Amino acid sequence: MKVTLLGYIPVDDLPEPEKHGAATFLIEGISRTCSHQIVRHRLASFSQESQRYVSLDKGGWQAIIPPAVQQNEAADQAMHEMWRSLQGAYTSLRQAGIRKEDARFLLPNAAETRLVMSMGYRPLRHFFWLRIDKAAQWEVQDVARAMLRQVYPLAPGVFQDIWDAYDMAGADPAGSGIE
Amino acid sequence: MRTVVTLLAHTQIESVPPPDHPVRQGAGTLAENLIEYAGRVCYRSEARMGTQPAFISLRVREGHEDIIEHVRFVFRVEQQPLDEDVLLLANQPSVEYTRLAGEQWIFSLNARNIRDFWRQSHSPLARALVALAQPVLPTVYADIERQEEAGS
Ligand SMILES: Cc1cc2nc3c(=O)[nH]c(=O)nc-3n(C[C@H](O)[C@H](O)[C@H](O)COP(=O)(O)OP(=O)(O)OC[C@H]3O[C@@H](n4cnc5c(N)ncnc54)[C@H](O)[C@@H]3O)c2cc1C
Repeated sequence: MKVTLLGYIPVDDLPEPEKHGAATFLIEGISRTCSHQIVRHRLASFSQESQRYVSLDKGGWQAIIPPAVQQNEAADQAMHEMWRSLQGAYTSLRQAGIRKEDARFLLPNAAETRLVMSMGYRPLRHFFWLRIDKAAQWEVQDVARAMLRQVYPLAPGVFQDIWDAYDMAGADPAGSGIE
Repeated sequence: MRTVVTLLAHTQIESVPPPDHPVRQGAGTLAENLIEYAGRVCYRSEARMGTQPAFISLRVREGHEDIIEHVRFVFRVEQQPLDEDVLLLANQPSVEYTRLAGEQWIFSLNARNIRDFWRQSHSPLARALVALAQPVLPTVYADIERQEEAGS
């Protein structure tokens, strides 16, 4: 997982920075499970890598393996086998003349994806409250923490309460260590 | 009616992504490059940044308009007496506003909001927003500029 800040609105000279601030992120190396949760946030703009126009081999997508699966040998093996067999099936479908938009029906939630997301600071605050919380899925928690780390220095006043509530100053910047 | 619009800020890219990031490899303004990059993430064609001048306008025409939403603008708007178009603008999705003293407002909105608002209103306010956003995103507003010139 990797988050890169691409742009932002400087708020230093603006009233109500929570309303007028905004940031744009590139989020890479996440599963479709995670991206599906992210794109449920309606007050935002998204551009996500297409499975209609990009093929499995061109995308070079890997399976995102949850830490609990990685730590369990049998489960890890089962998941890798599944991924290998679907790669074979995908290739067979393509060779049989099936379009990418139909071959992608084979791809599981584990399939890697990436997206560009822009959000105003107000909906971003809401996103952080929901997605850094321990009730959220591990992967989206890592994404949200990485986003907060990058946006906090741009507008500390806007995000201070969230930063403090989740003890970001003390937290391990590597998150759960998933690459 | 008097309408005065000032551009206060727009999405800053210069100081943000690493020096070798593909956003910097486009042929347009940095804000245009961000839009092209968002589009190219969808097709995994970042390697072709800057090679197709019509890339953004083609995407917009085919309905893949979300890519222009990634660039936002902040304007100060003064209008006296207040016209309905300010209410129309305030009700566009993702638009945020602050009412300052008197008839002064701060509006923040994205590049797509400006296109949609211009299409709906053609008011002096809409024209002023397009004129100020145009130097930041020339290709995004080129068709509107052409129509404005043809109409005036
Ligand atoms: C722990 C957890 C478990 C979840 N489980 C499920 C699940 O099982 N199934 C499922 O479908 N989803 C689930 N979700 C997703 C959740 O229901 C929301 O769709 C998602 O979190 C987006 O957040 P939001 O709707 O609060 O706000 P956003 O979409 O981020 O919007 C921000 C704010 O804008 C306002 N807003 C936006 N659009 C509207 C609107 N149309 N009407 C009124 N107000 C609006 C609201 O005030 C909202 O808080 C889960 C989320 C979490 C965090």
